[in-house]
Amino acid sequence: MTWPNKKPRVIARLEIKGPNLIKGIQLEGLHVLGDPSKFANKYYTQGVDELIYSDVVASLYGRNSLHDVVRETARQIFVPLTVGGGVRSREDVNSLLAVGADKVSVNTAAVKDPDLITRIANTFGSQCCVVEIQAKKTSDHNWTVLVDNGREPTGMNVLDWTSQAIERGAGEILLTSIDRDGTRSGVDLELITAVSDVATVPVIASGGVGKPDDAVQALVNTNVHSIAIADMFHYQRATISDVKSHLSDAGLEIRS
Amino acid sequence: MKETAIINYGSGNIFSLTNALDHVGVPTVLVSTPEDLGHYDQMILPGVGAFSGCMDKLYEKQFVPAIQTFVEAGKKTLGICVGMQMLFEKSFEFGECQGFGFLPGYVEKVSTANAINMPVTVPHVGWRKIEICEAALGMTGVDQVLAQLDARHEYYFVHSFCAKPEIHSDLIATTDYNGVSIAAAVGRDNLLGLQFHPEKSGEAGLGLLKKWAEL
Repeated sequence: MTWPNKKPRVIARLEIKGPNLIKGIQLEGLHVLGDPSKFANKYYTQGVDELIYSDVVASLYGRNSLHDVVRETARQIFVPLTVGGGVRSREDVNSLLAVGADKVSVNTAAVKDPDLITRIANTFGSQCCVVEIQAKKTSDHNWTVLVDNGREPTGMNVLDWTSQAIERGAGEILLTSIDRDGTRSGVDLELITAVSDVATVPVIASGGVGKPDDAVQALVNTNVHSIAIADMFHYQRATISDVKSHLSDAGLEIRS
Repeated sequence: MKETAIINYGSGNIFSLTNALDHVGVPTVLVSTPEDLGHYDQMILPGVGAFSGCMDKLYEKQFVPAIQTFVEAGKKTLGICVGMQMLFEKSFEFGECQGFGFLPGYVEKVSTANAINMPVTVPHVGWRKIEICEAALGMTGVDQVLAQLDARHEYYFVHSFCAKPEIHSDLIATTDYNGVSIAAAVGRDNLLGLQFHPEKSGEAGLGLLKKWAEL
């Protein structure tokens, strides 16, 4: 059943490595694009509804280099900012909120220690706790959860983990299709339909949007709430207004 | 311009709020002890997370009597998100918990049942337009803010609980979430409460904060 007056958010997703905005294909082969806060500023001016920053090396090296980047961004943009990568504890959450993040996303540490979701939700509220689920297709209608930025398969079923994460207090699910990420080949409709049908909290679909119509397909045909877009914006193949006007033409209400 | 005191009690995204006010040229002071609050004429009470967690922290830091004195002295007060919800008598989040009770009414979970029988997810997250309530128009104190609380604009909401004011005229604006009506702005005299986050609502939110601070 699709929503009568769903009002999707168009979210720009920025993957960060050290001080730089980067983009890769299927989270491998990284290209350096430049200063993330310059991109963030541009998206804010263009009317982006929200920003997601992901530190792509944090969980691999056990460090979090995002603080300076987040602080610089939060001074200039006044829309919600979700930050993830290497968040392992409530202290990590606190330090990100203290430099201007509004929400945090957790992946690897939450898979290893699901109670982390509950601890974050109880301390900072569910609205602050976004659980990122990186999904890779294993067989027909079956996806496994990956951790360590798409490198490590866990054997956990994506739909089971979605329900468990929500039960434990996730306020939103950021669903990344590793198969589609950076490919520009369109969203994995089967995946996002399956996850958004079991989720009782908002689901943000990420991975695969190569043209504005891919965002339309994701939002019109599924219960997904919002769409996160990375390289289509970074490489200026379409602007935020392009996406919004496509969504509007498709009959969806958007923030003007 | 008068300095705006921001209650710093370990809840709410203080950094975002300070940034937003700085950006529009409103001087702010983080107030971390109840004794300091008396030095200021206007304050913002932020708050995110659980209602009871926020009230507990305010009690722990002994802010409750100082805030009561401040509001009862008629000083201008803005509550944001859970900071708005705490202006009411009680909440039913994690059992019953007492709030300040400046405004009669209570706080309850956003209803997942609506008139059109379609699914409503909670938390409610997203940008919404608001509708100004006629009963609130022309009231002293808040009416000037209303001029800036523009129904054409959209504001960013992120919450699972919402306020149910008992007095009709305390409800300043509502928003519609898939057929569920949610109190978006409440207030009376020196009190204003916003369920949405003006500090995260782009230029519309910044304009509203500036207008309130300059009243």
